[in-house]
Amino acid sequence: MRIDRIRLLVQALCFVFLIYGGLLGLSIGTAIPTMSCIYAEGRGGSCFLYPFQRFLSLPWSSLFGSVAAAFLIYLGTFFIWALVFGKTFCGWICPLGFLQDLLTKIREAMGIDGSRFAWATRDRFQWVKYALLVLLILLPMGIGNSLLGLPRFTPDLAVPFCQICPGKPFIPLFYGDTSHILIDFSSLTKIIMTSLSMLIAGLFLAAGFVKRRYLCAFCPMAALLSLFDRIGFVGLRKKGEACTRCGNCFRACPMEIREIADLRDRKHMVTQDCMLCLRCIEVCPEDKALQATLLGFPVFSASAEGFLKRQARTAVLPESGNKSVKNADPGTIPSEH
Amino acid sequence: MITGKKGDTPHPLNPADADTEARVARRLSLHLAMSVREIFDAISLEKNRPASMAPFDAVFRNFADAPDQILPATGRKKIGIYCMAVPEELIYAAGALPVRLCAGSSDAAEAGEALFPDVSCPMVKAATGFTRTGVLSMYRDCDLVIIPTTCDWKVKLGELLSRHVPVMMLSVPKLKAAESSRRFWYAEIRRLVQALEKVTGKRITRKRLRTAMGLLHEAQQEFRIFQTLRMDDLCLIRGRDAAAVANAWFYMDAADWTHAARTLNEELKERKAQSLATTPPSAPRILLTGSPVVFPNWKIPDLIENAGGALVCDELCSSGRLLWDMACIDEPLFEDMLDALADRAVLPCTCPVFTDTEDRRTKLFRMIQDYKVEGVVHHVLKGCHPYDMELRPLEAKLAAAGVSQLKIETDYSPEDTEPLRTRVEAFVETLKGRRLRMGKSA
Amino acid sequence: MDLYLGIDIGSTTTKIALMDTEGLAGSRVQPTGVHCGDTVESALKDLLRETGFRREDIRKTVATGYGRRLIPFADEVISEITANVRGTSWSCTDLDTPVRTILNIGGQDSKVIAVDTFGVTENFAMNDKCAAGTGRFLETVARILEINMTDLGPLSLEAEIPLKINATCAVFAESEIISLIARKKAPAEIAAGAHFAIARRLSRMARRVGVTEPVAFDGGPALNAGLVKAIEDELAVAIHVPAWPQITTAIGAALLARDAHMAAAA
Repeated sequence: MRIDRIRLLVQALCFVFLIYGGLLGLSIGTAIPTMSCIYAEGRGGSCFLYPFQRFLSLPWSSLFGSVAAAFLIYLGTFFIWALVFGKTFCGWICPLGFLQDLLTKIREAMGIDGSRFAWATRDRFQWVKYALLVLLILLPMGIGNSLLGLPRFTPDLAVPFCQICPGKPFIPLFYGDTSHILIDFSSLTKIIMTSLSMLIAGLFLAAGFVKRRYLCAFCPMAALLSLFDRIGFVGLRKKGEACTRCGNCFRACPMEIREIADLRDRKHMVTQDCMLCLRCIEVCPEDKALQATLLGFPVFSASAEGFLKRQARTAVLPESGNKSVKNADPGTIPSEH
Repeated sequence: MITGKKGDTPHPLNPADADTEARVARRLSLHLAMSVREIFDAISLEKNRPASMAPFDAVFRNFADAPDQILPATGRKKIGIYCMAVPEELIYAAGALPVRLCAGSSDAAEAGEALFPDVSCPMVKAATGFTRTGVLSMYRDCDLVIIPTTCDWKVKLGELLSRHVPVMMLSVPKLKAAESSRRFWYAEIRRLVQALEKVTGKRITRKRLRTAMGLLHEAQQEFRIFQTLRMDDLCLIRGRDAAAVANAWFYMDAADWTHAARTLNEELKERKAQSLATTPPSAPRILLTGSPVVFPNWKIPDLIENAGGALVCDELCSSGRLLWDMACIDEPLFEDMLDALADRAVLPCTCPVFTDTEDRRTKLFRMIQDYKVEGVVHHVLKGCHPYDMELRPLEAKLAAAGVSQLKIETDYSPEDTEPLRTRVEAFVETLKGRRLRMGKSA
Repeated sequence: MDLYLGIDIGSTTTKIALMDTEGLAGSRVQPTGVHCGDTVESALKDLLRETGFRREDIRKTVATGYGRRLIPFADEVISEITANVRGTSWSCTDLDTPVRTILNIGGQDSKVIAVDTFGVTENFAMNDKCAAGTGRFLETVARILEINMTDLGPLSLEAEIPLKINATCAVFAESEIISLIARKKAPAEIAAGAHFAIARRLSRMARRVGVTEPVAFDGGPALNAGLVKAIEDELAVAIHVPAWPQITTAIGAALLARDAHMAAAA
């Protein structure tokens, strides 16, 4: 099973649906745990973080009073989405994830090698997504309320995360809308926020070209979804006794998660960075060493057979076609005799 | 650093004439031929052997009959390698033929022992003996010999061989877990790539590398099928023959080996359907682990199976581990594929030269389960310190899990065959007794 | 005419050598039989008759070999080691440097002698407890292959690669060879294998003593070219077979008689 092909297809479909679905009148709500950016007018569902930040910027008297019920229902909807789908939102559904994966595919097609973080570097900025999560909760609260006796924050800080999220400059582009690519000089806050936005957009393109899923390491949505890693319906299970620590999974992991390769004594392998793309299972050559599970039941297992079949179909260069050595006459080595 | 030059150079400690060298070479040639013929004489008396062993046998028969024809006829450059740490894909990608030179002849060990301490690794002694005498042309015909510094003996082997052939040492890190070790090893692999390109005059391109990896994947696929067939309750092929099949990889072209292995696998599947086994079900299932067992040193596998055991699997770098671990092509890009090969050569390797001991333990336990192993035979060659050092803690851990074990410390010489036979027979009897006590059918 | 008599009484054959002041005057080989005294007498009588020498011309007689004390008219007895060294050193006339190692295979024993630069015995090893690796074994092989002992050598040289014979005991080797014949193995390879087995045994003994070149090989079986080649292959050194290899010990005894007589006369 070529999971990566299936996943690409699912990503494409979700992208089309989430970006354009609204044009057909379709909508799956506003509590979607993925970057289904609200700046796309015809979207088929909204990113959870926008209404979340909006809710949080209400005065507490409202938040815990008149809108409390709505807020709870809202959170509950999010909870159910996250519980059922968990990190698959990152790996299979997120439009920004899809765009980053496309960038990677372009790089691969050009034959350019990517680059990887040094391990220490990778470990060092694990905290960033949690910091962003905290900020996207506190800053809105500080707009509608006085935090710790401080004056209320400027409304220019509204939906602070959305202001810097790369979704904002890029997703409207799919409507031909370039209005979000700018530096807004109307206030200091706006200058800072839009500058950050442009910086992050630039990083998205530049760093995202050489590093796979570069921004996902800093994404606060991933931080939120991490709360569901252990309890989510979709799981990633490892059988340590079957693992040879060959490191194939680490190599294939776009998020460069080391634990998947190094640890044998842990069963549940959806780590904070994991996006359940299941690349690890695809490249694992040991039977059942890694398994994707749905409500505890294995739905996709690593196997030597599957590994070899998938490897044989990995293309090299566009001009060589998808020639598998399998098609070659056994007993000859292509051209080098 | 490539040292030494190709061609004849007199041995430094034996400034004796070419006449003595010629005599030593002749003696080795005779002894080798006699040993090989003896092996095949004994094989010809065996019943029930798969017919598809023929192409593998042909390779080994040539050790006696036509040493110059052991390797396939080819116009490619030959690159000699020691150890599993050198990824053959790189050599194929450079348009050359890899030849694994790890040697198993006790007579060659005798021929090479002049420069060695009393107790030393017989494998490097044999390799030195073959290289010094030139009895097997492949030891001298290689355009480059690559020696990874995996164990101390190989570290010192380079100097001895460089008198006769160009040698390149490859520095292998001992610590798998550290990032710095891995990056160092990635750099060493690149140095190897440069050396190969220089020797062969061919560039290792992305396409060639991908093709070579595909070539190895095909071989590894057949190997996995083969090993899986051996997990069966029926012992479809003798352990010695299985070791020979893997051992033949040293000398055969990848595609040829894959083809022969595929035919063998088909035959084994048929034999399974016909319930045709090489040993009765009463034979206790035994795993062999430890220092390598290389043709013509079939002493230990033969002892085990002649004593009534079934050698169902081994954890040896010369056979059972040889083609097991597979490098993955994640993005089919040059640097990535090189790194993948580098990782494959080192990370899953269970050789005790690495500081990590957990990998070998995990693999052994898994094999014990997969192959339904009843007894483990530890094979430690005299002078093989890594395996010797690891033995006691490993024995303790296996014993704590209730695994029956036998330790054999030996060298290549056939002289201790009889004393060992008694011990192996006793071990097999113990295993049979265990079976009865545990209520399984005998 | 001064003559000196050396008598070597071996288990299978008795050898006598007559030396004069120039060199070897005559020799005789005869199966020892049961009464070695009688054997020596008859051999001597035959030799004198043949050469025309007179018994009175024999100035001194030295006897060696396992039956050396059974010759009443011998003036001296000496160990076969010393006699062998003296005789072989003298017989190897085509060497640049004196013999340093002597290999000897007899009818029922075999020995390796290390000789120093002055021709004196330095070290030696003997196998006189077992027939393996001796002429007796070769007799057995020739018998089973149904050929003459003298044909054994040329036959073995026809084989390129000897067959391995694993039995270390001559008796068990016999049954092993019979089974090889039953399996239709080539007689040439069997003969070569027998030579190889002897050579391997001898070379083990030689390595214990220490091998220095030049190496000489004598005793009756040294007439067997196939055996000589097998030993050369096994020890990986050049082997020199002296002229008259069968009687070198007797020659040595005679030379020692001459040495003693001339020393006394001086």
